[in-house]
Amino acid sequence: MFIVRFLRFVCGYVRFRVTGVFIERFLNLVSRGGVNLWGGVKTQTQYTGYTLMRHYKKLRPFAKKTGVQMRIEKRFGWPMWKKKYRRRVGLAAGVVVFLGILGLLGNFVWTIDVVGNELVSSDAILDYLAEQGLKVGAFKHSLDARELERKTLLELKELSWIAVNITGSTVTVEVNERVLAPDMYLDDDKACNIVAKYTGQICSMDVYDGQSDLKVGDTVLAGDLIVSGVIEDGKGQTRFVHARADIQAYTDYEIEVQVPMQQEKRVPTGEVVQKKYLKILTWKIPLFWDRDQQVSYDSQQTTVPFAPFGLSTPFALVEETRAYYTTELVTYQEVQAKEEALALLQKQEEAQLQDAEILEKELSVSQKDGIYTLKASYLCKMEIGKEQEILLDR
Amino acid sequence: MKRKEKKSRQSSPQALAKILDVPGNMFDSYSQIVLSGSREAVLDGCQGVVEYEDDFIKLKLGRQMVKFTGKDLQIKCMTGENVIIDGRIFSVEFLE
Repeated sequence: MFIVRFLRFVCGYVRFRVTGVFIERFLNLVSRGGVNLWGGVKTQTQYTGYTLMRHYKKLRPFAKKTGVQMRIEKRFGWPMWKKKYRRRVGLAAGVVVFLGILGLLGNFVWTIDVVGNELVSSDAILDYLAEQGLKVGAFKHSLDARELERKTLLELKELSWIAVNITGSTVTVEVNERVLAPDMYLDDDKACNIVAKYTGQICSMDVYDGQSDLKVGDTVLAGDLIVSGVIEDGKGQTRFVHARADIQAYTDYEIEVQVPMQQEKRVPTGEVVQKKYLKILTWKIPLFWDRDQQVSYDSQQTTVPFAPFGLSTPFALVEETRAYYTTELVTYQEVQAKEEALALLQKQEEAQLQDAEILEKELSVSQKDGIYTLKASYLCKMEIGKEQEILLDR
Repeated sequence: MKRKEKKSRQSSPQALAKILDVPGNMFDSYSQIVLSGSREAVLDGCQGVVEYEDDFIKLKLGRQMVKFTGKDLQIKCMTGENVIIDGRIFSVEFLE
C-alpha cells in the first residue's frame, strides 16, 4: 500500500467535490472511462473523492454529460511541492549541496572495525594497516583489499588469516590468530660458545650443553670462554653443539648519572582550558576563535564519535584540554641535584640490574663544570654468560 | 427449438466445469465478491453503480444486481470493473 501512496504522491493528486443529482451516473462514466477514484465519501447530493492530477481533466466531459458540478478542493503531491518551493533557490541548492557532500564523503573510509583478535591488539593491526594506507579518511577506491591482506599476513606473524571487507564507508577487518609453537631450543642449528659478559669470579655453574674446563671459584675476564661449543670425544672426533649454561658470578658493576646544576623547568601556570574541534574524517575544524598568546601547554585530547542510534558517521567531536606552563631556568643546590641524581640512579639500577643480586653498593659524587655526577659501584651476583656463535667455514 | 439451443449453449461452460470437477468460473466470467468480515467488500466484474446512498449501495453485475445494505457505506475505490465498498455491511442481496 505504501508504494501505491508513494506513486500517487509522485504523480500528484487532487481532492474534488461533485455536486448534482446524477452522481451514480457520473461514477459509472468515470469508471468506464478508465479513471481511478479512491477515498470517496457521498452525502445526499454530494460526492468527494480523490483522483490523479492528470486524470482530473478527463472527468470534465463526464460531469458535463451528467449535469453535475465539479470542483477541486485541494491539490496534493510532489508537483505541488515543486510549484510551492520553485522560487526558493537556496533550499534546492542546500539539497544539492547536501547530496553532493554525502556522495563525496561516501568515497572515504569512515570507520574501521577489527574483529576476531584476542592476543594481538586492535591498535597493532590498525597501526600496520594505517602504514599501508588503510585509515579513517582514506580514499576508498585507492585501497586494494587483497594486497592489504597479503602484506599484513606477511608482516604480522601472529595472524593466520585476515579479511579486509569494505562495505560502504565501513571497513571490517576480520582476523584469525595463529597458535604459535612454544619457544624451545631456538637457533639449535648454530654452534655457539658461552663467553663472559663481565669480569668476575664464578660462584655457580649449571652447564646444560657444551664442555667447560672452568670451575666454581675461577676468575674470568670479559670475553673469556666459559663453556665451549666444540666437544671432542675419546676417539679424537670433534662435534659442534649449541652451548647452554647458567653462569653466576660475583662482578663489579658501575652506573654513572649526571645532573646539570642549571636546568630549564616547566612551571604550570594553573590555567586549564578546554577547546573543541569538529572532526570530519581526518580534518579538524576548530570550534573556537584562538587568541591564545601562550604557546606552551600540555595537551590531552578525547574524541567522541557522533553515532546517532549506533549508526557510524564521519563526524566526531574532539575535546582538547590544554594545561599551560612556562619554562624557567632553575639553579639547583647540591641537595636538590643529589636528590634528582639518586632518583635517576634508582631508575637505571632497576633497568640494568633487574636480575642481579646486589651485595654491596658504594656511592661517590663529584661536581665539575656545572655538572653533578653520581657514580655507584656495585658488587653483585649476576648471570654473566653470553652466547657467541662459532663461525665455521663450511 | 431455437430457444432450447440457446439454453444449452449458455450452460455449456458450467456443464464442462461440472464434468471436469473444477470451479464454475474457470470457463465462465462470473463476478466475484470477496467479503472481509462485515467491514469491506471487494467486487470484481462490476458494471456500474445503480444507486449510491449512505445506507445501501446497489451495483450492476451483468444481468443481476447486488445490493449491500448497512451503515456508513462508501465506495472506497473504483478502478475499471473493481469496486471496494467500505462500512458496516448488514446484508448482501441479489436482485434479478
